[in-house]
Amino acid sequence: MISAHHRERRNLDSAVALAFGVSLWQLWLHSFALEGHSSSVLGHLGHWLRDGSLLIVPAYLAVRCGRWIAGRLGDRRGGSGSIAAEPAWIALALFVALVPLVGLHGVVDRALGGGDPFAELAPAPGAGYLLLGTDVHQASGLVGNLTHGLRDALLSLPIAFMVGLAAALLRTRVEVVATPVVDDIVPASMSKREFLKFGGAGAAALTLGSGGLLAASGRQAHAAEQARATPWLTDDIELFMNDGIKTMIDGVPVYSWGWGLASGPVDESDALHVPGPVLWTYGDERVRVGVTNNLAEPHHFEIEGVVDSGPIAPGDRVEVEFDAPSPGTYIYGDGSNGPVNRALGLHGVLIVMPADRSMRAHPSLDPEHWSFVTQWVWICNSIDPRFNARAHAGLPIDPVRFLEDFTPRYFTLNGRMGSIAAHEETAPDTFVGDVEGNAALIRVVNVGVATHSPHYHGNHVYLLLKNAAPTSPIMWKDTLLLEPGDRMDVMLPYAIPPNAVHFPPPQSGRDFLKQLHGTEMEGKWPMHCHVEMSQTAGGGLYPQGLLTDWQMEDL
Amino acid sequence: MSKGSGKDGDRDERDDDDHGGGGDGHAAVDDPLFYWNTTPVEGSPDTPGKVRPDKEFEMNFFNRDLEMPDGRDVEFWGFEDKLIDSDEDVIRPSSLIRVSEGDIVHVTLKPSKRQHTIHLHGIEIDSHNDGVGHTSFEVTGSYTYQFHAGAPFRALDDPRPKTRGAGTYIYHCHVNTVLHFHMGMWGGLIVDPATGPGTAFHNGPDYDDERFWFIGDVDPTWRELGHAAGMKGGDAGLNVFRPIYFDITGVFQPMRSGRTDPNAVIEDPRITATAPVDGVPTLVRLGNSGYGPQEITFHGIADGSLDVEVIASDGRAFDNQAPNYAQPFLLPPGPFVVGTAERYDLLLKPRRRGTSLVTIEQKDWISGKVHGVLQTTVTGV
Repeated sequence: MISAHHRERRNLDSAVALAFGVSLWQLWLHSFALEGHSSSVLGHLGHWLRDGSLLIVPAYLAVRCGRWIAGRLGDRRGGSGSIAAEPAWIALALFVALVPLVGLHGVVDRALGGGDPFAELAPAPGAGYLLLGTDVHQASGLVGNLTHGLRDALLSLPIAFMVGLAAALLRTRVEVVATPVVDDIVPASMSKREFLKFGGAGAAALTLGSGGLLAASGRQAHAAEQARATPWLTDDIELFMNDGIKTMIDGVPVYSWGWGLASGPVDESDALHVPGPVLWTYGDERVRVGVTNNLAEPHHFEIEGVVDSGPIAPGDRVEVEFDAPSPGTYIYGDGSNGPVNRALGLHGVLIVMPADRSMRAHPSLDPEHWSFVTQWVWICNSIDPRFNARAHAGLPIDPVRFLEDFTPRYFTLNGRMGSIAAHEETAPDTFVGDVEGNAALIRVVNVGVATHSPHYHGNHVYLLLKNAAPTSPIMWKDTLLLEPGDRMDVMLPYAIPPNAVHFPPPQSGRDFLKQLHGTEMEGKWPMHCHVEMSQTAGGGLYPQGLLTDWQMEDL
Repeated sequence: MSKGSGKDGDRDERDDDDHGGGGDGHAAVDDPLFYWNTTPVEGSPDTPGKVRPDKEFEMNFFNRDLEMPDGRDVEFWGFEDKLIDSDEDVIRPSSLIRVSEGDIVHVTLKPSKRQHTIHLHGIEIDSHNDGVGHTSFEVTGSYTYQFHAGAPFRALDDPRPKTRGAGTYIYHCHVNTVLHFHMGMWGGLIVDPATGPGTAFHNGPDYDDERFWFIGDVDPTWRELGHAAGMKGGDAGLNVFRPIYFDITGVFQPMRSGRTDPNAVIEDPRITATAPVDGVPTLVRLGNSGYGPQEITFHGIADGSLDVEVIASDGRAFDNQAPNYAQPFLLPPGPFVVGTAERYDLLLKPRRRGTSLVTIEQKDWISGKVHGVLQTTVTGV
């Protein structure tokens, strides 16, 4: 339970700091500033330890509660204003808890009887009178205890806030959010329509602070929803280089390298995701990723031109830290043996969004023309099981021979093939669905060694970025040339196909779909690679290769 | 329309079945999802909302043999337009579809014995007329594909670029595409501006002469496969592509000792291009109809005798309609890579008289090794 452990430890750390911080403050108030309780040094220390320990549980609950509220409000600690939000909510939660607890404190004191070091001496008149005019410890009954509670809790508010803020500031700010790529047949936990609610109307709730990104796509909204469903805020990610068996679409088992991950509420440290989770961040952030190599040989964690961990020995964990590169799409993974380790599964994608949190692929793009509503990542790979078998046997693979002999039998999009990759139920992260007019940014990435030609039916796409650099000129293509290692960020305009014959011409996507549904067809078009060998599986089985569909929906 | 599942491994128009049909003992696939795509709807439905066309084409299936440069006869499949009155058999490429912006176009497919479709590659159309089995249907008897060429793209108030769509497209069969496209079931689809041929696109440059350079490749071993090879399970070898014959729009590069002769030059006047110096340029419609990246080098660019201006791609003019949007650009010296099924419209503008070579290398999609080399010429007059 790596991620839960990670998350839990962070909450516990905060709770302990909060508990002992607040109780120390209270002790100082009560012993010196207010009532002037007197005791020996040991007595004070004991008192502090006791109250601090007693306070850990309520502080822990306050931490979770505060983080949950901050998370609920979609405040993802993006801008400078939002870093205070979480401590503020935690402090407020603690305040609510403290009001009755301080009253209980009196009961505990009395129950323990006046024995040193745990007992207080009888309260003496002191500075406390200056505050409320009476020593509230003398008060009894519900009203008295609540008054005392209210006063002490109020006094604790600033210190709780400051402790929380200090913790938040001390923590390395990592803005990596994991979007686990669903790479097996799993039912979508939310329907596409629910995703889109977050992409569209529901975005208001998320766009507080830096939440704009979360509204960027159905998939990301889904990840955000996962994060928000439990009181965690995702701010770091652990990756694990794992191995295992993947079943190809014709039932053939193939050994593969891939990734486990732990982040926020997601604990899939033992999983085998191929590709790895989509990491995303903003252009002005610093990123930290923990990488554990669970494989039998050393591997690197590398983003070409950005960071290279160097060899990670089997069983070792390294922390990779880097400033986010220029906005665009990047491949992370093991680039240490030519394309071999990457193609055998050690690959994933890092998305860098503009620092201004706008819904554009790059800050140089005019927002009026090139803003998008949803975004998607399509990762193309190909598999020659003979090389996977070599890796399974622990045999070395020469990158030159790899390129010369590579005869792929399976072609994957985000790890899936053919009909599995072309249905919303089984491929919610590749099957693109939205309503007319909602431009989709699709980041098409080639992590394999074959040259692909992704071809879009239904709409041409605008090629906005190639390999994280704005294209000049922007071309409007129906087929892309996607060479190994290429990343092409294209915009699918989601336009009513203009060459369709309809009288009268449809005025809206809904009109168009109504006319089309009269023919028992859906507004659905494929994207497939036009180097058609990639449409096969196991040497045949057309069309069970590198393809998916996009659909114009009628919401 | 009916759900079809009874395809056998026949070659089109033939009955022998020695390859690719039955499964070879791979683990059974019992996942119902698997069959979503493998049993496409078949039939001969009516065309929805059919209206009177401005242009009509009637594409019939054919299979014919063509002699290759090494003397071997190789089988090709394709579409032949029966409305064109000609004594000459169409072989490679299939009949041309040429229309103008504003035309309502009917393309009737008569696939003969087996299922085929026509996908109008690059034409943005509703699913019913898109010719894709798994999102619509495969045609058995006949079907009339209907589209509106050059319809204005996007609403007037949309700030993104608009187009009328004049430019270079292709059409092809989308059934078992890996095999059927390669067998030759593709042809050119040209949309002219409303003014007709002679202008590249609305408000675009004029041209006097035009060439179709669709660069293709042929792997004869795939000729042994049946119509549905690789569709039923089992290894038909369709993941391995080793072409040995190469052509520009049906004119093949000469061979020597079993390989294309890299020093030979295609001198067929249907392919070689001429253009006047300081005159109206010649338009080359360049397309990759092979299975792999192609590197084209105009040697006249490097020696300063030729300018090649790229003015459109995939049927979309470079007309600078939006910020950062495409403007025509001159090809730099060196190879220009064109991916499978991409098209580029090029203007040839010779700077001085004389002939320069054009070299095209067809590369392997994985190793990058050169399968074959094609050459032709551009002459400034």
